[in-house]
Amino acid sequence: MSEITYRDAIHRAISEEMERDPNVLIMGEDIGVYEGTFRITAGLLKKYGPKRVIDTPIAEAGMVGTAIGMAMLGLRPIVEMMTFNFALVAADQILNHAAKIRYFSGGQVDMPLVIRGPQGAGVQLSAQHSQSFESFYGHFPGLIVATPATPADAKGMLKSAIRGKDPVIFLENAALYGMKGEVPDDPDAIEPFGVSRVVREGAHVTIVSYSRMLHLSLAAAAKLAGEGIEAEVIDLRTIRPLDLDPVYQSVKKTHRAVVVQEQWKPFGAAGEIAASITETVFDELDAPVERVTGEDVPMPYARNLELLAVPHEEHVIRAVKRALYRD
Amino acid sequence: MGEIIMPKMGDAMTEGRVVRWHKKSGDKVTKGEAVLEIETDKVNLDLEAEEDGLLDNIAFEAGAMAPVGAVLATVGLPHVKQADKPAAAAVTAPAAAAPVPAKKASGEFNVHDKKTAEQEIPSAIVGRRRSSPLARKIAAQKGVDLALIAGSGPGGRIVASDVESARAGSRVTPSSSSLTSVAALPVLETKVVPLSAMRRTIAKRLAESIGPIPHFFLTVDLDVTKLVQLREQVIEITGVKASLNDFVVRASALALRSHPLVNASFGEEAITLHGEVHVGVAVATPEGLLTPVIRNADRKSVVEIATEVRALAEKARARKLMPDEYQGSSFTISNLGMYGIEEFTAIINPPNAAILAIGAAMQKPVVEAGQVVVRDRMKVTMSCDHRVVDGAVGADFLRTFRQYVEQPLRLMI
Amino acid sequence: MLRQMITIRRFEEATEREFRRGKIGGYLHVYTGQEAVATGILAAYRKGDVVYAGYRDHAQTILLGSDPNAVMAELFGKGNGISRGKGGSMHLFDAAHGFYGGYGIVGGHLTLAAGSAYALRYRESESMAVCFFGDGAMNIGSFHEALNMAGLWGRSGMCPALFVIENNGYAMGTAVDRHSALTDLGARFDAYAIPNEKVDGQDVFAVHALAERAVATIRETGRPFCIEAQTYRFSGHGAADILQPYRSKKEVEEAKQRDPIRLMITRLTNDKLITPDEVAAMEAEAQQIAQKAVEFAEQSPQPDPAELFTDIVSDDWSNADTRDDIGETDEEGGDV
Repeated sequence: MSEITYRDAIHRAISEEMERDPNVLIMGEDIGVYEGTFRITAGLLKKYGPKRVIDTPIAEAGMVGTAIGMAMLGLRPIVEMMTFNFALVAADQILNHAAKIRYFSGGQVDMPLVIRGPQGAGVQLSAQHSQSFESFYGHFPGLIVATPATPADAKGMLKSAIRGKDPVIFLENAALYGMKGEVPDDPDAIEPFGVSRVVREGAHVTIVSYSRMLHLSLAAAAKLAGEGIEAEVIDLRTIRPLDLDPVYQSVKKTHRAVVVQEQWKPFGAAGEIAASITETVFDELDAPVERVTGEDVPMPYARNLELLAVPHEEHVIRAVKRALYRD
Repeated sequence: MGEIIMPKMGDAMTEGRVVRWHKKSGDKVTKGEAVLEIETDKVNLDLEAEEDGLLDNIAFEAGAMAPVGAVLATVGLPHVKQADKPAAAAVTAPAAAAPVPAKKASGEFNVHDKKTAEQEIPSAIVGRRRSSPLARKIAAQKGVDLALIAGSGPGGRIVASDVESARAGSRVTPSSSSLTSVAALPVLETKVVPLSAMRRTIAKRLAESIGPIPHFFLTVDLDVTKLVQLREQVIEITGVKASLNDFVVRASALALRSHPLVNASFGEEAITLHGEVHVGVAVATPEGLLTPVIRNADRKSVVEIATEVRALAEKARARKLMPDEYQGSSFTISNLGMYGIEEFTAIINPPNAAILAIGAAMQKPVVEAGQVVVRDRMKVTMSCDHRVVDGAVGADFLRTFRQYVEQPLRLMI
Repeated sequence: MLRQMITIRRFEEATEREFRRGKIGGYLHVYTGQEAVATGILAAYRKGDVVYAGYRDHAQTILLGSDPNAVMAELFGKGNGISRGKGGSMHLFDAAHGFYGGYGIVGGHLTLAAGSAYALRYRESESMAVCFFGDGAMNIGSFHEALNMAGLWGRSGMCPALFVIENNGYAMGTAVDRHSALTDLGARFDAYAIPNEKVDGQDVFAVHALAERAVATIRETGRPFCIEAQTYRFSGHGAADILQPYRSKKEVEEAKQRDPIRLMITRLTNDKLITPDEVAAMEAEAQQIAQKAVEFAEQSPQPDPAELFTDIVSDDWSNADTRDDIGETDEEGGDV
């Protein structure tokens, strides 16, 4: 184990997999000579050369489309989105092509394609650069949507994505890039998809989250513990496939649930999870499932407004208390 | 303001006679002072004032029969007009059992104190009771009747802890509601349950009703979207958790004013059109159905009705209802909405000429101006005594009733 | 090639008939009138090449060797269809024969072809990618993104791709001069440093000759090439395009004077390379292939309802620890 950052964990996953399998290559805007806007790909061009580390034009549809053409022939392309906001330009390639070809071809080809990059609110990046897309991609069958919250998951799950046969939307969170954590050194230590994890046990309320919001939830849980409220915190880790069994088990114990997401409330992941809880363990609920979400507005630029638009620890604490009828 | 009521002196006593008034209206009385003499089958006794004040609102003159619980007079400020004059219900009083001294003749029926009622029964008794899914599951497992539990959650929602701490007294027969699994069901035993006096009366009266009374039925489907919204506003503004049924009580009372043939009773010689509107509200109790009466419901606000209904219903469940609290209705409302019943027909409560059966308010898709929209709808079925109420008369009444329900601001005027 | 063109013509006629009979659902876009283009181009196909098309894709996959029965079964929505009943007319797919799909989003597949071309060179293969698309696909973003990247990669020999404009004069119903600022379509490839040439798309010999020349360069240099084949679609855009208000009957009749099959027969007959009897035999054989395909499709079973939930993602999407397919080469292409 080494203590490394989320950024380094991603870098190592890419580098180790390129080392391991000559079919793995990476392409994106300014990932080679420029070494990447978040420096995830620093040093890769020198190590693996321009055939495997491809600087592309600013052309997201072109990047993803060509990667699909490569993946169908057995290469394992990784496409870096400078931010996932730009992937909307490639939505047709991702949703109409990558997610569908296996199905409409009757299973004749694999689609070992990874599209990765940061998303979510930053600091004063405003409306076009602050969005979260997990529920957008989570809506489409044919995709895998990963939302790692820790350096270890970032590395292990990215390896899963690269070694797999399916198109993976790998949603990193820029605010986590500097976060440190223990990460296995074993290049074959991988984390499978579709396995949620209880990261904190508690008997009073279940907090469900993922990615950066997991850390918000854990901080809220620590504060709540000071008030005698023991929250169980679950990290979903992948949004599609969504492993809700641990959530149901937890709700059977706590009878209350709070779902925390950064994105907008309408039609979001939290709504999907809340509905699933209601469908599956309705009779276990002693309170409505609470949702903590970003405000339903485009992200503003001014720092004070921006801070009002995103969820904070305090929101989670209040939601927990509502669920416990203690507000 | 205190009230002097006809006290119930024995189990079978339903009414007493006012023998003489020792004081007259406007006289000053002091606590403990004899105010009047009453006579029951077994005993004559003086009723004393429970507090100092001026005697007023003498409702029964010397010689008159008064049902148990009826307010005979008030003690308090002189200018308050007592409107609560019970209708003369033709009840034959059977012989009273051993006489019991009147312990309290004043204050006992002061149910208009909003705060007291709120504290005692925080959630609506009629209409849908809020409860969490877990609370319902535990209640089913424990055999606890949710109707008897006060909810501590938002809006009076019954939550798991309320059920878990529920008194043993709130248990109903576990076998009847244990829903966990087939294996967990206890063996049922065959029992012969002797008819209680109450069950006997229910049986007799309902059979009397459906037998000689030529019933017919009219159903309307009402848009209660605005009513539902109004109810939420009323709750927010007043803090009184009025149920939809409380609004329905007021709506029917107001409608009855315009349709005297519906607020009527059939007699062998004549039809009586009642001058006052007293609406009976059917309440399910563990022992059976009771219909406490909201007297002069047309003169009471929704909030007053709500408070009164709740207090009476609680009394009904506790078997503390006095006869004048369940007798003398001129019209009755039965609501099974809280059981999820969408539509049903009720049997007329004689000597009423009609009864309204109120179903659950449910969200339904309806077509409005070519668009499918979601509205709260509620079905209401009116059972009519055809000897008094003809089809057109019933339909007219329902039309008025619909106006009140669908344009509920009229209820607040 | 004549045999192939006649087979496609009869096959497409059969699909239109079956569409009218309600046996084929959804959309149906037939290749009638354009047969010389795909036939001439794919005569230069070699095993290992990969071929992409838009939704007017029946001809290409049959030319590559797909079983006409399986193609027709796909159009009928049967479980033994070439895409197992999950794709339909627009999404024929036969990887074993090098056909990497018909695509329903106009222009979307050009990027795929460019990427596949890159992958082939990455593997140091001599194979190439072939991409068919209509004139209507040339105004959408992915067209430009694909060609720019193809031209760019071609500079380092990493994009052996043949782009084939099937210029039939109409983007659905919008004529070229109503949808393109520059009506010289091939010239647009100049902007992306991709050499391009025009050819009479009704003349199968001309198409084939150009294709052979282009393909030789592509294989040798790893650079892309564009052929603009000027052709004409005899049928409507799709089976639902009955009125065709965008063009006159006269225009269609005139175009039919240059029916690629008739032109080829005339030339072969004049050169005494074929006899009318031989043509008749080919016609009969093609008719029989089409007829047999319809019978086969009619008798084929519908997909198992369980098929609804298969092929969405791979079966082992989560079993990451079993993934040890390092360096797997996935040699593509089948027996043509």
